[in-house]
This record gives sequence, C-alpha cells and structure tokens, in this order.
Amino acid sequence: MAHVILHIGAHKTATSFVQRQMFFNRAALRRHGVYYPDLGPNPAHHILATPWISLPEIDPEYYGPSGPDGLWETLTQTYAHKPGTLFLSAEVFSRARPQAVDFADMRARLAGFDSVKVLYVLRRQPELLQSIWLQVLKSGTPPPFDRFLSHALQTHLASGLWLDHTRVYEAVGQGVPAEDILLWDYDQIRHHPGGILQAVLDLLQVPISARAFPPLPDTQANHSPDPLASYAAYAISSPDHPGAALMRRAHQALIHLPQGRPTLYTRAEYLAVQETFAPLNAALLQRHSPYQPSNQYHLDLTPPGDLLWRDQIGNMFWLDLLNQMQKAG
Amino acid sequence: MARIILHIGTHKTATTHIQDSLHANRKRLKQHGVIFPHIGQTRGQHGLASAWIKLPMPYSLTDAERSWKRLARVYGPGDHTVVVSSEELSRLRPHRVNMAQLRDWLQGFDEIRILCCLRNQASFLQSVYQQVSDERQPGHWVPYLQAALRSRMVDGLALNYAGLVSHIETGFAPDEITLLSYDHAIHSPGGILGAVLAAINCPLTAEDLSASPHGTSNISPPPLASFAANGIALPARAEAGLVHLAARHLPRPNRTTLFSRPELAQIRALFDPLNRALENSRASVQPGFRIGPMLGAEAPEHELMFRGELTETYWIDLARALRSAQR
Repeated sequence: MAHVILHIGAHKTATSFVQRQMFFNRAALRRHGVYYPDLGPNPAHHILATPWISLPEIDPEYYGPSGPDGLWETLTQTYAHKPGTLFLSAEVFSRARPQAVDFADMRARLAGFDSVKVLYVLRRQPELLQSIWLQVLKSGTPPPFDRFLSHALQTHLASGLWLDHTRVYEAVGQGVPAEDILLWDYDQIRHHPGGILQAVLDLLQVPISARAFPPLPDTQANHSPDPLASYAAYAISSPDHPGAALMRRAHQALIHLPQGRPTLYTRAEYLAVQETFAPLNAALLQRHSPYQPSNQYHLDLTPPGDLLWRDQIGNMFWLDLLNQMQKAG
Repeated sequence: MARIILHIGTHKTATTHIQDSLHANRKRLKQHGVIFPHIGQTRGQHGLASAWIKLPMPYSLTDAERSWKRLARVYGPGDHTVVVSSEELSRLRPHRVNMAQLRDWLQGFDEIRILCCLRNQASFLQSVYQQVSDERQPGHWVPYLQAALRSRMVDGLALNYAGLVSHIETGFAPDEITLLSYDHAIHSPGGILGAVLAAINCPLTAEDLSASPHGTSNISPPPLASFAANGIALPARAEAGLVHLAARHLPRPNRTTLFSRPELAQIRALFDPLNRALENSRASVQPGFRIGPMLGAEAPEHELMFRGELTETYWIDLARALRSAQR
C-alpha cells in the first residue's frame, strides 16, 4: 500500500526544522518505509506548488524537461507502487495570496496512491501573526505593527497567509475529504517529548526517537528575533530597515525589561486578536470533531500569564537604547 | 538703628532673580535706607560664604572674614538695613558656615536677622537635579533621588529643614530667624521678590523696582526633558540641544515632573511630618508659618505628567529625531 502525507504548514510552525530533519535523515527514514524525496532546490517541497503558485526564486532546471506538472507525474511513477508513505512538506500549500493551490487538482494528481492525507499544523493566531511580522522584518520592511494588526483583524490575512484556519481547511477540503485532514495544535505538540519532529515520526510510524537524529548545522536555522527589540528598532528606523547595528543595540537594551516573555502586543491588542479568532477556532474544532478528537487541539487563545506586553517596556529600556545610539553618534 | 538681614536662600528659591533685582536697584533701595552692598564680582554676595566654604572664582573672596567685619564696621554705626544675599550660606556639605562665628562678626549691628526661604522638598529636589544637570552629568534620576532621601540632603543642601534651622540656631536665636515659604510667596502679590522686600521691611514693593538687565534667571527646561536627556547623554553632560530635543516631543511640556506617583507619595510620607514638626517648633516665634504644599498637592495630580507616563510614542519620536539629527 502506498500512502501520501502532505504537510502544508502552516508557516511559522517549525516547518523548516521538520523539513531539514527529514531531508538530512531521509536515508534512515527510507529504511522504515518513509520516503522524503529530494526535489530541490532546498529541503522543502515548495517546488510542488508551482503548477498553481508562481515561485520565481526556483530555478527552472529543477523541474526537468516536463516542467512543474512532470514532477507530480514522477512522484506517482516513483512511489505509488512502493509500499510505504511518501511524506511531502511545503507550507506554501497553505498560502492564500497572491495565488493558492487548487487542492482538487492536487488530489487528482495523487490518484495513483492508496491514500492521501493532509497534515495542517495550526498556530494560535496571536503568536502566528507576531511571528509572520517578524519574519517579514527579517527580509524587508513590513507595515508598522499596529497597521499590520489592524489589517489582519479586518481581512484575517497576514502577508498573504490565512490567520483564519477554517479558510485553509475549506481550501484543502475542495480536494481532500475531512476524514483525511489532520489538524495539529502547534502549541500543544511542540511541548510534547521530542517536539513536533517526534510527532511527525510517530505519525509515520517510524520507530526512531527524534533525539537520535544528529543535530543539524545552525547556519540554515530560521531563528526568530526578539519581538520587542525588533519592534523598537523598526519603530525608530521605519520606513527603512533598522539594520544590524540598531537591532543589536535594541537587543542589548532588553536587559532592562521586567521579567516575562516579550510580545509585540499590548494587552488590548492581544485581546482584540483573541476576540476575533477564538470564535472561528471554536467553530472549526466543532466542524472537524467527527473526524478527530478535539482534545488533540484546543487552540486556546487566553493570553499566557508570563507575557511581557509592549506597553510594559518602561523608560529604562528606551533610555539605554537611545544612550547607545547617542554614543554611536 | 543698624540692621543686617542675611538672606541665605535656600537654593532654587529664585535667589538669582532676587539678587539681580536688588543689585539693579541699589541706588533706589539706598534712598529708602536699604543697603545692598556690592561685594566681590557677583551680584549676590556669595564671596562672603567663602570664609567657610570653598567657592570657585568668580564667587570667592580672598579675605571674606575681613569683608564681613568691614560690613559691621562701616554700616553698624549708621541707620540702615543692610541686606546680604547668598544661598551658599545655607549649604551644609562639604563645608558649612560657622554660624556662631558669623553672629560674632556681626556684633556691630543693632539687629541681626536670618531670612531663609524654604521650598517644598519635592520641587526643591527636582529643581536641584535640573540645576546640577546644567553643570554636569548627575546620573540617572532614581538613584539620585534615593540617595537624597537616605541622606535627607541633595548636593550638600538640606532637605530636612528642621536640621537646617537647628544649624542656624547654633549661632542665632530662634527669634532672629525668619522662615519664608517659597511656595506661598510666589502666589502672593509681588511674588517672591515682593515677599522678600516685605520681610526686610522695605517700603518699596516689587513693582517699584526696575527689571534686572540680566533678564529672567535660571529658566529650567521641563523636568522630564532633563530626565530623558541625562539618560541619553550618560556619561557625558546633556548638551542644551539634546535637552531641547527631549522637550520638543513631550506632549505636555509645561507640567511634567521627574517623580513617579509612588516616589512623590514617598516624599510626602517622609517630609510632611518633619515639616509639620518644624512649623510647630516655630510657633512661639513665627506663629502661622507654614511650609508650602508638596508638589502635586496644590493642583490635581492629573494635571501633572509623571515619569511613568512617558509613552512609547514619546521615546520613538525622540529616537527618530535623534537619529535624524545624527545624519
């Protein structure tokens, strides 16, 4: 029996980590009947989305002579008759804008397999939104956070990604029946022993401990910068990118913050996100409950008690940051 | 009858304004029997304090003791009121006036009076911090404040006014001392200058005096601008341009305070009882004397902008202006 599990993110749910681990350990996985193909140009399988989504950063030479469609045909030819599970991972499949995957078309391309399941890891919207803003800042100049937030609350989109998980669920549902959709709660799963990687290995019935995988080189890891340092630096530099020096100074000033886990939000902003998305999450859980026990994902948006709100930054942080700027002249 | 009145400040009670005004109107005052002598190179008679307190030039006199004794010799036999004004006479650290010696040097006068103007400790402390900021880097406000509260002294100046009065009383009888509330005086007709003229029994009012050609003295920037500029400039002194920049972005520059609400409450809890005790101890010689209300007590607190109310927007705007100025 040949199965497919397509992991479609969401973005900012340790996808790069999972993809790199699966990629670098694909030989070991193969011995347990799990296939993680090397499709290029990186450990993920974003290239598979190119029949629907334009990804100009991918060099056409990776498609081969049959183009993007040929990749899908090759997958069926190579794996549809092999017992085991083909694991594909590309968070771009959950993208909403400017283009989106046609899941009915996608499912049709995998008709040669005995089963196709879609794994979608849901991140709680306050953390997801923050993480997306920080990711955009790493490579460019996002709108100011308050404007980004306001737009997200109105449209349920952030940088072309759905914050309303139901919209992804429905898009997938165009081609994949609900019983073949797996929803995971990122916050729950990352706190399990072995984290999200172990959860994936368990799903694939691979009898290996995630801890047995050798550590990966750090160079390609996608570390998130500190939210408040990033916020402060960009608030000062926008519309320009803050640059490394200002970011470094803002990080140094963090020693003056009170105890707590820094967040981009004021309490009021966080509560606005909670108010918008908690009912949508509850409705999705209810809708999917015939197919998956709801205790596997609860998506609780209650603000954690250890958060340090943006409006708790205090004078000493700013004084230190401005003092460093003054000294740097 | 010859009288001498020693106006000993304290600091930050418009002493420069008073000294400038009296100096500019010396001739007019003399016509009314009030002598404001020109001693040394300053308009106030600060050099006289250098008999005990080391002062930099141009404040210092080479022989201050001689100047004191000359005052007694020249004016003691006449029928004048001599006014000497220097807030340095109220300094407690690192050196202080030997009050007994001073009283002794002034034996030639028929009447000797100390006039001491007191400001509520919160405003005084804040104002000293700002004055010091003008001259050097005082460091962050919070440790500065806490050190002052521990020692009940700021920059060598008394915060515990009962202690200051006790020191004066080592040379002068209680009934030779007149305390004046700066906070009440500034709201009286003629303001602080009018109150001082009244205290020395001068027949002139503040309106009778011409303005000093030296203009308004020691106009301080908004306290929170000093707070921000000092913190940014550390360890260097905050230049005027930086203070101006910090002031420009304050939402309510006219009514700010360095204090947080809890700090102001701490000051009140510490000094209000001491002030009431001083007032009680003075009841026999100066009935009705009251030190003015503590900062924030005379107006609703919501009119004051406290340090904790500096917003993210303020800091970001200031940081952007600083960055822009640096380019």
